[in-house]
Amino acid sequence: MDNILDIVKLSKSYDGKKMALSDCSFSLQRGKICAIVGESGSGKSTLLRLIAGLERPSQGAIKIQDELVSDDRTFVAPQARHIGFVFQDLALFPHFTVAQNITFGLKKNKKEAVQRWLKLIKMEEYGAAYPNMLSGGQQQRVALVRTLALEPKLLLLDEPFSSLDTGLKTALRHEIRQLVKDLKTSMVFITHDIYDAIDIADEIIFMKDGVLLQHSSIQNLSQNIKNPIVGQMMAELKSNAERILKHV
Amino acid sequence: MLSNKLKHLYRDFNLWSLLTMTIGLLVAIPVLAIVLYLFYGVGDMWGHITAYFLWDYCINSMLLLLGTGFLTFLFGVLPAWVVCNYQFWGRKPLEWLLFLPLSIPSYITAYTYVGVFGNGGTWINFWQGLGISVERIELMNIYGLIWVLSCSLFPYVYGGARATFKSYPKSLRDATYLLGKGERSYFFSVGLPLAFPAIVGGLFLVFMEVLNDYGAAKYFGVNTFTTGIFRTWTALEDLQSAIYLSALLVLIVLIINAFVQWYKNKRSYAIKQTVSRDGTDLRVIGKRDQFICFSLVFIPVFFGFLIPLGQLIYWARLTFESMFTIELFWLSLQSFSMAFCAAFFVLLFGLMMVFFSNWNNLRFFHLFKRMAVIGYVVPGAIIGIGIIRSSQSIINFFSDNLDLKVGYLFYGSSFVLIYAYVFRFLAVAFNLIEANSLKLGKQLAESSYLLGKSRLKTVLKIELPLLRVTLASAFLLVFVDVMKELPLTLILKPYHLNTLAVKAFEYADDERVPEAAWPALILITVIVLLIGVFNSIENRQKNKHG
Repeated sequence: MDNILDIVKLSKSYDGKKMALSDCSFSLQRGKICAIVGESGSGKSTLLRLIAGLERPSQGAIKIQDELVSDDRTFVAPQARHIGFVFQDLALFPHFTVAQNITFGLKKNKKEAVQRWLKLIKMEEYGAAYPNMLSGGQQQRVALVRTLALEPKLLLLDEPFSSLDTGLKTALRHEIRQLVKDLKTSMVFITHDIYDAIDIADEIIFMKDGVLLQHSSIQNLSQNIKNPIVGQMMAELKSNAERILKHV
Repeated sequence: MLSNKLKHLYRDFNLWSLLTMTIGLLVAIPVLAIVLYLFYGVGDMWGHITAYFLWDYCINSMLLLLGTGFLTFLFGVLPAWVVCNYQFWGRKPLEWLLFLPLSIPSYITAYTYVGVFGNGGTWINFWQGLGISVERIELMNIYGLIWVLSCSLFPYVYGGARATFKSYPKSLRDATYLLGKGERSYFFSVGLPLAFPAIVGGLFLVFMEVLNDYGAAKYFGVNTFTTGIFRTWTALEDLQSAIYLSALLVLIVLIINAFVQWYKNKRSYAIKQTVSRDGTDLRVIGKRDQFICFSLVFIPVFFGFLIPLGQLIYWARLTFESMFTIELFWLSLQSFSMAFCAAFFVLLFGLMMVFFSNWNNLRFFHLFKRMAVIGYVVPGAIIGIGIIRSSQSIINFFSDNLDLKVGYLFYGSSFVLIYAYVFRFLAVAFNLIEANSLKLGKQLAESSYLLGKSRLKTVLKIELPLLRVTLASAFLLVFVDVMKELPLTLILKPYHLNTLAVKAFEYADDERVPEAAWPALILITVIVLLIGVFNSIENRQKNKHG
């Protein structure tokens, strides 16, 4: 199997007592998009930070493209994992322009890269602007291409649509899916909106209280709910999203 | 379980853990030396000290803490409340003037008070000039010292209280009134209790300064722990007993510190601020109340800043010809260069400690970070003794084992003094940098790592540029502190080096108090200017980031 990511019995406790993540295992095939869905405190962000190397696991192992990057004895630093990460608050460098943000991680062909990526997100005239001069959607696009410019093996997104209004969210969902598929990369993203997951992802993972409840493909999701808690979560997530849509 | 922990230790221990530990231990040598030398037993004079002095030291130090605690509370809290809540004539300039007593070192305030109210002082001369005979005010006792230290140190309490009172949303006051309570209830039941943690924090700084004071206590002839440590070491020539006195003083400091931390943890409240205070919600009051408010604010400024400054200017006029020479210029230059070097190294070590401890992955190594910043609560005299004792051991080691004479490195250069300043003031820079780098958050740095940049590049390109205002503020604060520092400089300065603070003390100690005015005035002018620069930097930062 051509897996980009293998997680084996991964656990994390911040205080040595309460488990933020318990015994989590799953694999992701190259080129696939996987959504992690769950409530606040379900361990989604911890899982993403462990994959990126921003936290060290208490137990278990992580392999990226069959290379062991983390276990009890091994730890590969985040900068050596070739992973792209878009933070929930985007983490654009406020003292850099859009162009400087995009080229920050690049070593060569910076000028061409700026032109190419800004054209791709239709923001050619914003190269000299600072992040605080952009709208939320524009900032989101810049954060995404800053990460994609490095051509990461795996792209991780933490709640990428949480601060956007519904119209912008739908447009950006399709843009991101298209970009990821065009660049033939793989992606794992966190969301608490089931429609984000259904719209973009190929696979979905449900989490609750630090435990992975179910991992299945989007196509088989409705016929394949093994865990009653997942059924309940699906219903709650759907009704929340519908309520929000009604208000909009 | 244990083998898992050992595996993680192997995995997580890195260069930064090692550096955090090394800097922590290196900086904490003076205190570690005191603890170590306690095991050598008491000195020859210890019996004499316990029989004749120790009780005095204890009682006087306690009286000083209680007295200055009470007065600085009054001088700090009431003006802070008034400037944050009422509109009255002169409010704006007085709000800033209340900080300025800090620019005058307390020992200089002490000299000026004796100059004003002592025998043949300005106060008596003024009334005699009008043909009125007045009695001199006896100040050279513990009560005089309490008054002088309170006038000099109350801004620590004022600063903490003012910041907290300013953070109260208008709704807090409105809710109190709508629940049928008046002004007095708002102050005693809401405003004051909510500000207690900040006030206690300010009082703690006052207590540390009181315990650290040497110049004022010596001039007033009051026996305190710090003057006792100096006397035991220099007059009685018993360093070992001085170490025992230092250990007792450290114990007092630790008890006060533990109490303050316990209190702050127990009584810290988060105030949700919905509306920023811009001065428009100050209460408009009648003329009589305005006069009361003005008086409450003006009295501390008058006694803490205007009286000492006026007397210094008077003395400076008298000694202009003899003192305003090229020597004064050289003295100032030496003082500035020492403060500049010390501030640079403090900043460097502060940065290293903040970033190295963040990059270290072992949580228990944060203990070393705490060890490195203990210096701010350890009085200068103790640091001095600790350094003298430990450097003696190093000199002896080189001399006995390697036949190398390295004494001149310790006593003939400023190296040891700068090291001592780093230990004493590291907390000032560290706390400021740590607090502001926490505000920046982890994600900018993490983002940079994930974009392939190393830790060093991330610091240089992302974190330091974003922290530059903080770094400038930390540099200025340490510079001011070093300029004012006396006991540590007195103990550790090489023979050929002098600072404005030491020179002012030496003149006063030689009964040539008016000559102390020029070094003191230069010191005050520089500090006031730097406080001004600090404020403008802070305002710029506020305007930039809201």
